[in-house]
Amino acid sequence: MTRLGLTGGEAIAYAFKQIGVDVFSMYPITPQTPIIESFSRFVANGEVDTEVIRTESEHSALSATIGACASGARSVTATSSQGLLYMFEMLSVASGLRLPIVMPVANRAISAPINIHCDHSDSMSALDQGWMQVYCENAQEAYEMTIFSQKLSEKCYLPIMVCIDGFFTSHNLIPVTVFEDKKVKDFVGEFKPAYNLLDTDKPITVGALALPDTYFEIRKEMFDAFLEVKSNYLSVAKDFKKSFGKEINFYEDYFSSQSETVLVVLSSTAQNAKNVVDKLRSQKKDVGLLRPILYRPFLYEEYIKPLSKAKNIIVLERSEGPGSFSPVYKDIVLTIFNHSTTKEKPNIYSHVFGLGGREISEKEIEELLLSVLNKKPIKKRYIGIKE
Amino acid sequence: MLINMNIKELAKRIDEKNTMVFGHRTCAGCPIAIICRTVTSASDKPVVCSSATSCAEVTTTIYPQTSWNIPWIHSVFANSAATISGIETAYKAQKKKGKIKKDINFLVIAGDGGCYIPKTKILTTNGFKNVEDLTAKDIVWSVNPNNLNLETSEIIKMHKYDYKDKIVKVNHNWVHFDVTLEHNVPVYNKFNKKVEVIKAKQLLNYGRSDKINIICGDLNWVGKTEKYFVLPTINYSKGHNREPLSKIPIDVWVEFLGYWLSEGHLSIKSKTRNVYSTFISQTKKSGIDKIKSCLLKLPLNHWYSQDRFIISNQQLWTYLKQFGKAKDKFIPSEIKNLPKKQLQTLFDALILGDGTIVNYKDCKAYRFTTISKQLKDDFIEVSLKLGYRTHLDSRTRKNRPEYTVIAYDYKPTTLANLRKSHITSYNYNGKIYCPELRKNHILIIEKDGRISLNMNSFDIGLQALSGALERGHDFVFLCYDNEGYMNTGNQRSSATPKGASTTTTPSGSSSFGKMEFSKDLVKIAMAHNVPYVAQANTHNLIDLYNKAQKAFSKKGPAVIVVFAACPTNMKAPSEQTIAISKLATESNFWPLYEYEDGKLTINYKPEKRIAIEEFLKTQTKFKEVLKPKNKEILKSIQEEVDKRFNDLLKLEKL
Repeated sequence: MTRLGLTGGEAIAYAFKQIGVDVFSMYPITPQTPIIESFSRFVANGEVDTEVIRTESEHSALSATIGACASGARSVTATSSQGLLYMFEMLSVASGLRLPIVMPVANRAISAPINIHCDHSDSMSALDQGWMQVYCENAQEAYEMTIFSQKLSEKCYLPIMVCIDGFFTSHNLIPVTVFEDKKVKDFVGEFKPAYNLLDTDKPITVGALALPDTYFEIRKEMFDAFLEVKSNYLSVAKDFKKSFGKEINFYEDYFSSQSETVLVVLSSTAQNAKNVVDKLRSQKKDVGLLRPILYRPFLYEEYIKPLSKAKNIIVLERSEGPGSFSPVYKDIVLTIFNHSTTKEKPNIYSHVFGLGGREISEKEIEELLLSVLNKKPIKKRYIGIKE
Repeated sequence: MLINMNIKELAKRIDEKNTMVFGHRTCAGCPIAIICRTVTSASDKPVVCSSATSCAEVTTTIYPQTSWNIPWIHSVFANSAATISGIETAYKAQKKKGKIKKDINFLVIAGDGGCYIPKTKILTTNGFKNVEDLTAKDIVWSVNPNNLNLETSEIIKMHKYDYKDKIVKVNHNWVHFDVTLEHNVPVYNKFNKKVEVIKAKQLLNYGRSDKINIICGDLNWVGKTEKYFVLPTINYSKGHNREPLSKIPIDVWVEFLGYWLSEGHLSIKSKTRNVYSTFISQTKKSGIDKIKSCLLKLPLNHWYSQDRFIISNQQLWTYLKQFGKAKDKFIPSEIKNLPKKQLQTLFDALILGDGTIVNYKDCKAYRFTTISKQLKDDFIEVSLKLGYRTHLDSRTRKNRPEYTVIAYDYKPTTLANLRKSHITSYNYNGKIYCPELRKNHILIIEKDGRISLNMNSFDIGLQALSGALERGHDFVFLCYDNEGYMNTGNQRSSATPKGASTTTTPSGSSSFGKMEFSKDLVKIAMAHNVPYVAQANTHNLIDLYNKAQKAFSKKGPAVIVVFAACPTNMKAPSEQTIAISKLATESNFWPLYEYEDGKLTINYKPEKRIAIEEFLKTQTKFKEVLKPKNKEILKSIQEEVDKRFNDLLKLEKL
């Protein structure tokens, strides 16, 4: 077992190096840049034989990735914030062409006003483009989920975003346990593309025009692929356990299934929240934490178990749905509304925090939980906002 | 090479390539299909195409039908250049990893009697030579059709002709050659087990495929038996009071030479001390054992140190000195002419040193890698004599050529069974070459093939285009300029000329149409310093074809912008497309020119350029600007056209 001091960005680049991706198409944007910088160093030192395309924009970066992946190469790119929004047009093309592209997203606020720090508004605005999404807690998980996602994506023929918190995870150096190169190579195996544009003996047309008589069915095929993700995820997780001895779940259940009050939160904030949960549980308070990892597709029926005892669910999110609600809250409400069989429905609270990288303290999380435990829930929707 | 041909010949050639088939839904009078077909046909290698969202895309790929007979991809409007950079990079990545095998060289046996186009390589006793470089002094390897024995044959005479007719092209995984119609092709008849000779033109219209088998291996060889090898004697330097070496049994010598050619080197001659050491590097246990048992049979002392065997002997050293460094090594002809038994020993020894053996289900592939051009040719000769089917893969590593010869002993057959798809033809106008042999008349030739990329769009893709040009991807960018956003129904674009009425710049009581001159995409492309940029027009397809051919042949990015007279945009009758295109060039509105490796050439200069009015009045979109009240506007258009052409004349003189 090797332990290396890596930032989240470096950990992802390290995973791509071990996978041995064929093509890396890149355009810099903070805070994703450490990923492509680390990878570029691997290239400069001859540690990988990946072909790198340094494009002139994110739009071209994903376009080139699409072209490369359609040509039978294992192809990746990475982005953040406005870069992801600049790619937006290409997102649905990647999923529509059923290309297994792995794209790390270092989550960052979106303009205006411009801000380079962490929140989830970028990837949350791309929820419905036919991409799978996983959210990672730290560099260790980012490393593992990158390797896991490569295989999952190629099994489902769907692209996937591996989301990490900008700066909090992307730039924070922690000890990361890395797997053996060979084991990673064996785990991901050879890339078996569904089609290959470069097969000039069997010319194919990719990206044809579909009129009203055919479009609906072609799109449905992609939607249906999402129904297969659950079983594919389980099977890849089984392989992952076999190869590396580690469990990969749909979510992290931190005392959630045995608690009456559950805090739902994504990514790195869970680390602080877990400290609060520990503190409150040591005071015999009945609280737990639920951290979704696979967020697209959202496996509604899977969330019944970790919420089976919950009477209060607090959904704390780093993104807002102006004029509506935040995305995770809506998904939790749908879970309870459609799948819960208990007569008494739990209270579900929605709170937004930390936009533009504003930090949340453990004290604030504790106050939030205590207010619910004391049956005087905080009315304020935005945590940490200046009055 | 530029082709001089008439339009009928071109049409035939395009039909033969058939890169884009009928059934597309372009408007009546639309030149897009003509342009696409002409350009994609100009590549002699497979073409992969990326298209922007455009008229060409929506009219040719309506699911579930497609007009494209070549790999084709579309993703969105602005990114076709970025898409192709991904595709081209994926190609490089997979080529590097050996996942794509195209662009390797093919080794094959075909006949003389007809003629070869230049760059076809012929195996002589001194290795491969381009057919155009052969002379009557060369001795080539030929094959006896009766027993498939390899035999040398003199060239009696070299014939060189001008040829203007079809060339038959055979492109099979194992076989690649381009020959004239009357060329004799030896084929193997499986039923009577005899070599038969057919004319290349017969390949074009044969019916049964089982008959056309090209011989790629299983040749016979009878060598010249030798019992011993005698090292040339030398004058020993002082202090080396040695008996001259006696005769060495040929089997032992051949094995030793194999090890030394692949893994050996010599000590460097020193001025102060006479050291005559011969080294053979080897670290693998099995290899060490084999080499050791061979060296024990030599009448010489040796020892093994660290990673190499060392033999100290001046006579041996002096003989081996002639083989030079790794890039100069070769197999002496007296060794190559030994019988099969010794050649097999040599072959095995070479493979042990610089080779690998890959086991397939039905065959073993022996891969031998060297940086010596001559050793490569010699190894091919030895492999052929041993009956292997042989491939050559050339590449550049660390700025020097490296060759990998792969010898297959594929059990089922060494015959290449040709199917219809392997055989095509094209028109050719140029020199052809033919060596006339004293006997046998069957030669050994080698020819290569490779992939290239192509595509098509003006405005919002410019950034992606600029990026791809700057990065230097190897691709051709084809832009058909139909002077507006026609796919969405004729809105103004940056390619729309001044004075044109479009749906977003309609002419009215206070407007004559678009106010600005069009953007000069060709000059923008030129500013990227790419190897080739050209402007062409639909009325001169031969010029377009030739430009496309040049574009494909360039290493790096190339851009072709073609005037596409769109009847919907021009608001002109659909049968006028070509006539209007011609006026565009005759008025100098759309000059034909190219920018090749930094030099600009105007391909056509009208004797007397016609007034711009003549061109504009053919199109209703310019109706407003032609009204007397807009006289000044018309004048400014004429001035701009003349200025742009004069600028070209100045650039041409640079």
